[in-house]
Amino acid sequence: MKTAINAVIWLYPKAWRNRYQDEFDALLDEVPPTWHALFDVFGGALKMQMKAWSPWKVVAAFAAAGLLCAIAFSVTVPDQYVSTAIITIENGGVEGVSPIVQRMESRSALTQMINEQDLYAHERAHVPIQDVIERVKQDIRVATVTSTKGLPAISISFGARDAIKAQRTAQALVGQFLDASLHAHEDDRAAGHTFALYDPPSLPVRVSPRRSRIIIMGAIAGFLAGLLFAMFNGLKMWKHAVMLGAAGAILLGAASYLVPERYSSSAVLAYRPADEARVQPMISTVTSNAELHALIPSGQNKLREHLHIQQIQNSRAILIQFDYPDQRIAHNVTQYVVAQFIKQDWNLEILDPATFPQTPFFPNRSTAAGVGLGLGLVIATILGIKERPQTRASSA
Amino acid sequence: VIRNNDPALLVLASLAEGDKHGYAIMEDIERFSSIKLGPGTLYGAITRLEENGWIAPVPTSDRRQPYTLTALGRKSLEAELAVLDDVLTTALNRLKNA
Repeated sequence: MKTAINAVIWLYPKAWRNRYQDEFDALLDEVPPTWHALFDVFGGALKMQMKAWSPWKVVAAFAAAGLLCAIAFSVTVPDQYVSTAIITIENGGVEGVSPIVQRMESRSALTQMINEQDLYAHERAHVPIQDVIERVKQDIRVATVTSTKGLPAISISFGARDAIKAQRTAQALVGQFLDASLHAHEDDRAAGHTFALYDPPSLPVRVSPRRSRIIIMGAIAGFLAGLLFAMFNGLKMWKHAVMLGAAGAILLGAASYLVPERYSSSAVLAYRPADEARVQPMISTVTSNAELHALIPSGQNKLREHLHIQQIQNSRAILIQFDYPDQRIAHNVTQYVVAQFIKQDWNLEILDPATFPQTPFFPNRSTAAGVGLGLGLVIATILGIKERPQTRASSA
Repeated sequence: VIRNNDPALLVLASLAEGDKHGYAIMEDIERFSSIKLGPGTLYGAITRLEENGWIAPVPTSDRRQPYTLTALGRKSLEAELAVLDDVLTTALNRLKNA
């Protein structure tokens, strides 16, 4: 303990140690080396450091601490996998879906599914089954969509940390939905509706937590906490930080509107093992197709730059992705490429049809404004650190 | 301004009796107030008081550095104790009359 206390003394500012270390060591020789003494010396070192720093250095330290905490937190947030299936409503409208979803999500149906799929094994051992059911319901997403045939449809998704469980559970949900639809005649709203599986549960897509956003938010939260701390300790420069932060957010947020928007459309096709060797030649053939180039006003160079066709690792699937400033062209090109593959005698399966991009994937305006805010605050901090405090009015 | 629970006030009160080094101040404060100051807290107070010129180190050959109350420190302590005395007197009178 004595060694630890002696080590903590080195956390005091150098100027303080030059003046007080000898007599402080003499005092510590007489004080019993306890945990209380250790924490008290540590607290004293922090206070002296804060006192020696300019207020902006304190703010920067808080921001750095927030950043480090956010990085540590973001690493602990696990990836999530989502598998989605599409069911078309062949006869009737979306109003008939609700009673069937209720039946699909009934306590008995979900309990059976939880046991069969071995979901939340740890939770089942510690919390009542009703709580586990509520948790499962949060992981199920049912949304109305339109199929590429133009029919009303619903998508059923399931998210889990395990990719295989996500897909198997999505399959089980589709089975339960279709079973429940057989009883549709028992409810007036669903009577007469018929449903068909349009797309089987897709290969699970990894939905990573937005780690960069967590880290940025952590740094900003740390900065603001530091600003509050410094304000309560007499800081007068917070107005500059607010002004620079707001200016940065407005500037980058506005600049993002000057950047051309880009839309991305994608599709996923699965192929048989026998066709493995034919995939790469087919990709070359498709990308050199003259008709495909004609779909894009600016021609071949743009196509090569923005069309990505690749085999997905560890699965027999092809990902087709095209991004373009025009959402209709982005969708058309992806659809055309899918059609080129389907025309081959391969027995391909469409896991995800070409999506119609509703919103641009670039630029992300909220992120731009957030980065602007952060940059403004950082600039204010750097300027503040450079301005050494004239004198710190210390009062006893 | 000194808060009435400020370690600085306790150090000034201790030094009002005479010059003392750090450990002696700690023991004295514990004796008259039952407050046990840690070494970091004590030297935080000593640093602030010396910066304000309210206490000063006394020349010594010992590693243990004694401090003495300066005239400014004595004046400040008296002013602070006068305020505390007013508060105590008022509170005690109010309790008696309540």
